[in-house]
Amino acid sequence: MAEAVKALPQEIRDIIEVHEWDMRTREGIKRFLELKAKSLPSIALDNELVFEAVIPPQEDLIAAIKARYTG
Amino acid sequence: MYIYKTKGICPPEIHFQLAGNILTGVRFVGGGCRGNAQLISRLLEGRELSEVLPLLKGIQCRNDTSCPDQLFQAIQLAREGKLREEEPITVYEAPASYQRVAVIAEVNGNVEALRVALRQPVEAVFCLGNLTGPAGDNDGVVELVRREKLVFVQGPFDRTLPCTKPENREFLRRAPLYLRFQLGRCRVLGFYSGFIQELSGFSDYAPYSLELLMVSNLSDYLRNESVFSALEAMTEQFSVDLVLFASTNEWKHVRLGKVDFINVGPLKEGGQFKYVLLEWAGEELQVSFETVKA
Repeated sequence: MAEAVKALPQEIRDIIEVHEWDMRTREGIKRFLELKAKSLPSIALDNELVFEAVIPPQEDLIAAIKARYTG
Repeated sequence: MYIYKTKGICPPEIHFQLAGNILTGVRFVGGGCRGNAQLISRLLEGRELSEVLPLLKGIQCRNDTSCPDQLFQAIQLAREGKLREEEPITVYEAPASYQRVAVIAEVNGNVEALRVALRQPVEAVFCLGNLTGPAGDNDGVVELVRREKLVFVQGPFDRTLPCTKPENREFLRRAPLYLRFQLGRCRVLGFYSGFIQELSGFSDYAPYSLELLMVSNLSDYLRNESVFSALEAMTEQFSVDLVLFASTNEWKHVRLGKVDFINVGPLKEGGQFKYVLLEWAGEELQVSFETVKA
Protein backbone atom coordinates (compact mmCIF):
# COMPACT_ATOMS: atom_id res chain seq x y z
CA MET A 1 0.00 0.00 0.00
CA ALA A 2 2.74 2.43 0.92
CA GLU A 3 4.36 1.72 -2.44
CA ALA A 4 1.17 2.84 -4.23
CA VAL A 5 1.34 6.13 -2.36
CA LYS A 6 5.07 6.57 -2.94
CA ALA A 7 4.50 6.06 -6.68
CA LEU A 8 2.23 9.11 -6.90
CA PRO A 9 3.42 11.97 -9.12
CA GLN A 10 5.44 14.65 -7.36
CA GLU A 11 2.76 17.33 -7.79
CA ILE A 12 0.33 15.14 -5.84
CA ARG A 13 2.86 14.23 -3.16
CA ASP A 14 3.53 17.95 -2.71
CA ILE A 15 -0.04 18.58 -1.53
CA ILE A 16 -0.39 15.70 0.89
CA GLU A 17 1.29 14.42 4.02
CA VAL A 18 1.52 10.64 4.24
CA HIS A 19 1.39 8.59 7.43
CA GLU A 20 1.84 4.83 7.25
CA TRP A 21 0.53 2.80 10.20
CA ASP A 22 2.04 -0.56 11.04
CA MET A 23 -0.67 -3.04 12.02
CA ARG A 24 1.86 -5.04 14.02
CA THR A 25 2.03 -2.24 16.58
CA ARG A 26 -0.34 -1.03 19.28
CA GLU A 27 -0.32 2.42 17.68
CA GLY A 28 -1.27 1.01 14.27
CA ILE A 29 -4.09 -1.12 15.66
CA LYS A 30 -5.42 1.87 17.62
CA ARG A 31 -5.48 3.99 14.47
CA PHE A 32 -7.16 1.20 12.50
CA LEU A 33 -9.95 0.98 15.08
CA GLU A 34 -10.31 4.79 15.29
CA LEU A 35 -10.91 4.88 11.56
CA LYS A 36 -13.47 2.07 11.95
CA ALA A 37 -11.62 0.15 9.29
CA LYS A 38 -12.43 -3.51 8.83
CA SER A 39 -10.02 -4.81 6.21
CA LEU A 40 -6.47 -4.47 5.06
CA PRO A 41 -5.01 -2.59 3.33
CA SER A 42 -6.91 0.66 3.91
CA ILE A 43 -6.36 4.28 2.89
CA ALA A 44 -7.92 7.23 4.74
CA LEU A 45 -7.90 10.84 3.63
CA ASP A 46 -8.42 13.44 6.35
CA ASN A 47 -9.51 10.77 8.87
CA GLU A 48 -12.09 9.35 6.48
CA LEU A 49 -11.75 5.85 5.15
CA VAL A 50 -11.71 6.05 1.35
CA PHE A 51 -10.25 2.77 0.11
CA GLU A 52 -10.57 -0.49 2.00
CA ALA A 53 -9.33 -3.99 1.23
CA VAL A 54 -7.95 -2.77 -2.07
CA ILE A 55 -4.93 -1.06 -3.53
CA PRO A 56 -6.65 1.48 -5.77
CA PRO A 57 -5.53 2.22 -9.31
CA GLN A 58 -3.33 5.29 -9.26
CA GLU A 59 -5.87 7.39 -11.19
CA ASP A 60 -8.57 6.62 -8.58
CA LEU A 61 -6.26 7.60 -5.75
CA ILE A 62 -5.26 10.81 -7.52
CA ALA A 63 -8.92 11.65 -8.22
CA ALA A 64 -9.84 11.12 -4.56
CA ILE A 65 -6.96 13.35 -3.43
CA LYS A 66 -7.71 16.08 -5.97
CA ALA A 67 -11.39 16.08 -5.01
CA ARG A 68 -10.36 17.07 -1.49
CA TYR A 69 -7.26 19.17 -1.81
CA THR A 70 -7.39 21.07 -5.08
CA GLY A 71 -9.84 23.73 -6.08
CA MET B 1 17.05 -7.67 28.05
CA TYR B 2 17.55 -4.14 26.79
CA ILE B 3 15.08 -2.48 24.42
CA TYR B 4 16.47 0.55 22.60
CA LYS B 5 14.17 2.86 20.60
CA THR B 6 16.27 3.78 17.59
CA LYS B 7 16.63 7.14 15.88
CA GLY B 8 17.08 7.65 12.14
CA ILE B 9 17.20 4.02 10.98
CA CYS B 10 14.67 1.57 9.56
CA PRO B 11 14.20 -0.81 12.53
CA PRO B 12 12.30 1.05 15.28
CA GLU B 13 13.87 -1.03 18.05
CA ILE B 14 17.04 -2.95 18.86
CA HIS B 15 16.89 -5.70 21.49
CA PHE B 16 20.02 -7.10 23.11
CA GLN B 17 21.45 -8.62 26.26
CA LEU B 18 24.68 -8.06 28.10
CA ALA B 19 26.26 -10.80 30.17
CA GLY B 20 29.06 -8.85 31.76
CA ASN B 21 31.13 -7.72 28.80
CA ILE B 22 29.60 -10.24 26.40
CA LEU B 23 26.97 -9.17 23.88
CA THR B 24 24.16 -11.66 23.14
CA GLY B 25 20.69 -11.83 21.64
CA VAL B 26 21.01 -8.84 19.31
CA ARG B 27 17.85 -8.33 17.26
CA PHE B 28 17.00 -5.41 14.96
CA VAL B 29 13.21 -5.50 14.89
CA GLY B 30 10.20 -3.97 13.18
CA GLY B 31 11.72 -3.00 9.84
CA GLY B 32 14.83 -2.73 7.72
CA CYS B 33 16.74 -5.42 5.92
CA ARG B 34 16.02 -8.62 7.82
CA GLY B 35 18.74 -10.66 6.15
CA ASN B 36 21.54 -8.22 6.89
CA ALA B 37 20.21 -7.67 10.40
CA GLN B 38 20.27 -11.41 11.11
CA LEU B 39 23.80 -11.67 9.77
CA ILE B 40 24.94 -8.82 12.03
CA SER B 41 23.26 -10.52 14.98
CA ARG B 42 25.00 -13.82 14.30
CA LEU B 43 28.38 -12.17 13.83
CA LEU B 44 28.05 -10.28 17.10
CA GLU B 45 26.67 -13.14 19.20
CA GLY B 46 28.80 -13.92 22.23
CA ARG B 47 31.58 -11.46 21.42
CA GLU B 48 33.40 -9.19 23.87
CA LEU B 49 32.31 -5.55 23.89
CA SER B 50 35.92 -4.43 23.57
CA GLU B 51 36.04 -6.25 20.26
CA VAL B 52 32.57 -5.26 19.05
CA LEU B 53 32.26 -1.57 19.91
CA PRO B 54 35.05 -0.29 17.60
CA LEU B 55 33.43 -2.19 14.72
CA LEU B 56 30.02 -0.60 15.28
CA LYS B 57 30.94 3.00 16.04
CA GLY B 58 30.29 5.71 13.47
CA ILE B 59 29.10 3.63 10.51
CA GLN B 60 26.91 5.81 8.29
CA CYS B 61 23.88 4.65 6.32
CA ARG B 62 21.20 7.32 6.56
CA ASN B 63 20.45 10.33 8.78
CA ASP B 64 24.11 10.36 9.93
CA THR B 65 23.73 6.98 11.57
CA SER B 66 23.15 3.30 10.82
CA CYS B 67 21.96 0.08 12.47
CA PRO B 68 25.46 -0.72 13.81
CA ASP B 69 25.94 2.88 14.98
CA GLN B 70 22.59 2.83 16.80
CA LEU B 71 23.57 -0.44 18.47
CA PHE B 72 26.82 1.19 19.56
CA GLN B 73 24.88 4.06 21.13
CA ALA B 74 22.46 1.65 22.81
CA ILE B 75 25.29 -0.38 24.37
CA GLN B 76 26.95 2.79 25.61
CA LEU B 77 23.72 3.92 27.27
CA ALA B 78 23.30 0.50 28.87
CA ARG B 79 26.87 0.57 30.23
CA GLU B 80 26.32 4.07 31.62
CA GLY B 81 23.12 2.91 33.34
CA LYS B 82 21.01 5.25 31.19
CA LEU B 83 19.14 2.42 29.46
CA ARG B 84 17.16 0.24 31.85
CA GLU B 85 17.39 -3.53 31.67
CA GLU B 86 13.85 -4.86 31.29
CA GLU B 87 12.46 -8.03 32.79
CA PRO B 88 12.16 -10.51 29.92
CA ILE B 89 8.76 -11.70 28.75
CA THR B 90 9.33 -15.38 29.39
CA VAL B 91 8.24 -18.23 27.17
CA TYR B 92 7.96 -21.89 28.18
CA GLU B 93 8.70 -24.14 25.22
CA ALA B 94 7.60 -27.71 25.88
CA PRO B 95 10.37 -30.10 24.85
CA ALA B 96 8.00 -32.90 23.81
CA SER B 97 5.49 -33.15 20.97
CA TYR B 98 1.95 -34.21 21.88
CA GLN B 99 -1.06 -35.85 20.24
CA ARG B 100 -3.74 -35.28 22.88
CA VAL B 101 -3.76 -32.58 25.56
CA ALA B 102 -6.18 -30.73 27.82
CA VAL B 103 -6.07 -26.97 28.28
CA ILE B 104 -7.66 -25.25 31.27
CA ALA B 105 -7.80 -21.72 32.69
CA GLU B 106 -9.07 -19.83 35.72
CA VAL B 107 -8.46 -22.42 38.40
CA ASN B 108 -8.96 -19.60 40.93
CA GLY B 109 -7.57 -21.54 43.86
CA ASN B 110 -9.96 -24.48 43.42
CA VAL B 111 -7.98 -27.59 44.39
CA GLU B 112 -10.86 -29.97 43.71
CA ALA B 113 -11.35 -28.61 40.18
CA LEU B 114 -7.66 -28.91 39.44
CA ARG B 115 -7.62 -32.53 40.66
CA VAL B 116 -10.46 -33.30 38.23
CA ALA B 117 -8.54 -31.72 35.35
CA LEU B 118 -5.40 -33.68 36.19
CA ARG B 119 -7.33 -36.98 36.06
CA GLN B 120 -8.35 -36.56 32.41
CA PRO B 121 -7.04 -39.18 29.93
CA VAL B 122 -4.54 -36.94 28.13
CA GLU B 123 -0.77 -36.78 27.71
CA ALA B 124 -0.51 -33.37 29.36
CA VAL B 125 -2.63 -30.66 30.97
CA PHE B 126 -1.72 -27.01 30.39
CA CYS B 127 -3.15 -24.05 32.30
CA LEU B 128 -3.51 -20.58 30.75
CA GLY B 129 -3.30 -18.67 34.00
CA ASN B 130 -5.03 -17.59 37.19
CA LEU B 131 -4.17 -20.63 39.21
CA THR B 132 -4.95 -18.33 42.10
CA GLY B 133 -8.10 -16.38 42.87
CA PRO B 134 -9.53 -13.94 45.39
CA ALA B 135 -11.33 -16.58 47.49
CA GLY B 136 -9.34 -19.70 46.69
CA ASP B 137 -6.98 -22.08 48.43
CA ASN B 138 -4.06 -20.57 46.53
CA ASP B 139 -1.32 -22.33 48.46
CA GLY B 140 -3.14 -25.65 48.04
CA VAL B 141 -3.40 -25.19 44.28
CA VAL B 142 0.20 -24.09 43.86
CA GLU B 143 1.46 -27.04 45.91
CA LEU B 144 -0.58 -29.45 43.77
CA VAL B 145 0.79 -27.80 40.63
CA ARG B 146 4.34 -28.17 41.92
CA ARG B 147 3.84 -31.84 42.82
CA GLU B 148 2.20 -32.70 39.50
CA LYS B 149 4.61 -30.50 37.48
CA LEU B 150 1.68 -28.86 35.70
CA VAL B 151 2.81 -26.41 33.03
CA PHE B 152 1.06 -23.06 33.29
CA VAL B 153 1.44 -19.40 32.39
CA GLN B 154 0.80 -16.43 34.63
CA GLY B 155 -2.55 -14.70 34.76
CA PRO B 156 -3.04 -11.34 36.47
CA PHE B 157 -4.25 -12.96 39.73
CA ASP B 158 -1.04 -15.01 39.88
CA ARG B 159 0.88 -11.73 39.92
CA THR B 160 -1.34 -9.85 42.35
CA LEU B 161 -2.87 -12.43 44.71
CA PRO B 162 0.17 -14.12 46.15
CA CYS B 163 0.15 -17.24 48.27
CA THR B 164 0.95 -17.03 51.94
CA LYS B 165 4.02 -19.28 51.70
CA PRO B 166 7.12 -17.55 50.29
CA GLU B 167 8.19 -20.59 48.23
CA ASN B 168 4.77 -20.64 46.51
CA ARG B 169 4.93 -16.90 45.84
CA GLU B 170 8.35 -17.31 44.29
CA PHE B 171 7.13 -20.25 42.20
CA LEU B 172 4.31 -18.10 40.77
CA ARG B 173 6.61 -15.14 40.21
CA ARG B 174 8.97 -17.22 38.10
CA ALA B 175 6.23 -18.70 35.91
CA PRO B 176 6.34 -17.94 32.18
CA LEU B 177 3.95 -15.62 30.35
CA TYR B 178 3.73 -17.54 27.08
CA LEU B 179 3.41 -21.27 26.50
CA ARG B 180 4.58 -22.95 23.29
CA PHE B 181 4.09 -26.59 22.43
CA GLN B 182 3.75 -28.81 19.43
CA LEU B 183 0.60 -30.85 18.81
CA GLY B 184 1.35 -33.13 15.87
CA ARG B 185 2.28 -30.67 13.13
CA CYS B 186 0.35 -27.87 14.81
CA ARG B 187 2.40 -25.11 16.46
CA VAL B 188 0.49 -23.97 19.54
CA LEU B 189 0.81 -20.71 21.48
CA GLY B 190 -0.95 -20.00 24.78
CA PHE B 191 -1.20 -16.93 27.00
CA TYR B 192 -3.71 -15.51 29.44
CA SER B 193 -4.49 -12.09 27.95
CA GLY B 194 -3.23 -8.72 26.81
CA PHE B 195 -2.10 -7.76 30.31
CA ILE B 196 1.38 -8.85 29.18
CA GLN B 197 1.67 -5.66 27.12
CA GLU B 198 1.57 -3.60 30.32
CA LEU B 199 4.82 -5.19 31.53
CA SER B 200 7.96 -3.13 31.03
CA GLY B 201 9.78 -5.78 29.00
CA PHE B 202 7.03 -6.01 26.39
CA SER B 203 7.80 -4.93 22.85
CA ASP B 204 5.44 -4.87 19.88
CA TYR B 205 8.18 -6.59 17.91
CA ALA B 206 9.10 -9.41 20.30
CA PRO B 207 8.22 -13.02 19.47
CA TYR B 208 4.46 -13.70 19.88
CA SER B 209 3.58 -10.01 20.41
CA LEU B 210 1.84 -9.98 17.04
CA GLU B 211 -0.42 -12.88 18.00
CA LEU B 212 -1.18 -11.32 21.39
CA LEU B 213 -1.96 -7.87 19.99
CA MET B 214 -4.18 -9.27 17.27
CA VAL B 215 -6.23 -11.21 19.81
CA SER B 216 -6.44 -8.58 22.55
CA ASN B 217 -6.18 -5.17 20.88
CA LEU B 218 -7.55 -5.78 17.39
CA SER B 219 -10.30 -8.35 17.89
CA ASP B 220 -11.11 -7.73 21.58
CA TYR B 221 -10.70 -11.45 22.26
CA LEU B 222 -12.73 -12.39 19.15
CA ARG B 223 -15.72 -10.28 20.28
CA ASN B 224 -15.27 -7.69 17.51
CA GLU B 225 -16.20 -9.74 14.46
CA SER B 226 -16.13 -6.67 12.18
CA VAL B 227 -12.33 -6.88 12.09
CA PHE B 228 -12.12 -10.60 11.32
CA SER B 229 -11.16 -9.84 7.72
CA ALA B 230 -8.16 -7.80 8.90
CA LEU B 231 -7.31 -10.40 11.53
CA GLU B 232 -7.34 -13.12 8.90
CA ALA B 233 -5.00 -11.04 6.71
CA MET B 234 -2.60 -10.62 9.63
CA THR B 235 -2.52 -14.37 10.35
CA GLU B 236 -0.26 -14.67 7.31
CA GLN B 237 2.48 -13.23 9.54
CA PHE B 238 1.79 -15.49 12.54
CA SER B 239 4.47 -17.87 13.75
CA VAL B 240 1.95 -20.43 15.08
CA ASP B 241 -1.11 -22.35 13.86
CA LEU B 242 -3.20 -22.28 17.04
CA VAL B 243 -3.60 -19.43 19.54
CA LEU B 244 -5.07 -20.19 22.97
CA PHE B 245 -6.05 -17.48 25.42
CA ALA B 246 -8.33 -16.97 28.44
CA SER B 247 -9.40 -13.80 30.31
CA THR B 248 -13.01 -13.30 29.16
CA ASN B 249 -14.68 -16.27 30.90
CA GLU B 250 -16.02 -17.30 27.50
CA TRP B 251 -15.61 -20.43 25.38
CA LYS B 252 -15.09 -19.91 21.69
CA HIS B 253 -13.34 -21.50 18.73
CA VAL B 254 -12.83 -19.55 15.50
CA ARG B 255 -10.74 -20.47 12.48
CA LEU B 256 -9.47 -17.57 10.35
CA GLY B 257 -7.24 -18.34 7.42
CA LYS B 258 -4.94 -21.13 8.51
CA VAL B 259 -5.00 -20.20 12.19
CA ASP B 260 -7.32 -21.50 14.92
CA PHE B 261 -8.18 -19.22 17.85
CA ILE B 262 -9.57 -20.72 21.05
CA ASN B 263 -10.87 -18.75 24.01
CA VAL B 264 -10.65 -20.97 27.09
CA GLY B 265 -13.19 -20.27 29.83
CA PRO B 266 -13.02 -21.03 33.57
CA LEU B 267 -12.28 -24.56 34.81
CA LYS B 268 -15.31 -24.57 37.06
CA GLU B 269 -18.53 -23.22 35.61
CA GLY B 270 -21.73 -23.68 37.56
CA GLY B 271 -21.62 -27.21 38.91
CA GLN B 272 -19.40 -28.52 36.11
CA PHE B 273 -15.75 -28.65 35.19
CA LYS B 274 -14.77 -27.66 31.65
CA TYR B 275 -11.64 -27.89 29.57
CA VAL B 276 -10.56 -27.85 25.93
CA LEU B 277 -9.46 -31.16 24.49
CA LEU B 278 -6.97 -30.78 21.64
CA GLU B 279 -6.10 -33.78 19.53
CA TRP B 280 -3.94 -34.28 16.49
CA ALA B 281 -5.68 -37.04 14.59
CA GLY B 282 -5.87 -37.89 10.91
CA GLU B 283 -3.28 -35.20 10.17
CA GLU B 284 -5.53 -32.46 11.47
CA LEU B 285 -6.37 -30.55 14.62
CA GLN B 286 -9.52 -31.61 16.45
CA VAL B 287 -10.99 -29.35 19.10
CA SER B 288 -13.75 -30.11 21.58
CA PHE B 289 -15.01 -28.41 24.72
CA GLU B 290 -15.35 -31.15 27.33
CA THR B 291 -17.55 -31.10 30.41
CA VAL B 292 -17.13 -33.21 33.55
CA LYS B 293 -19.98 -33.30 36.05
CA ALA B 294 -19.06 -32.47 39.63
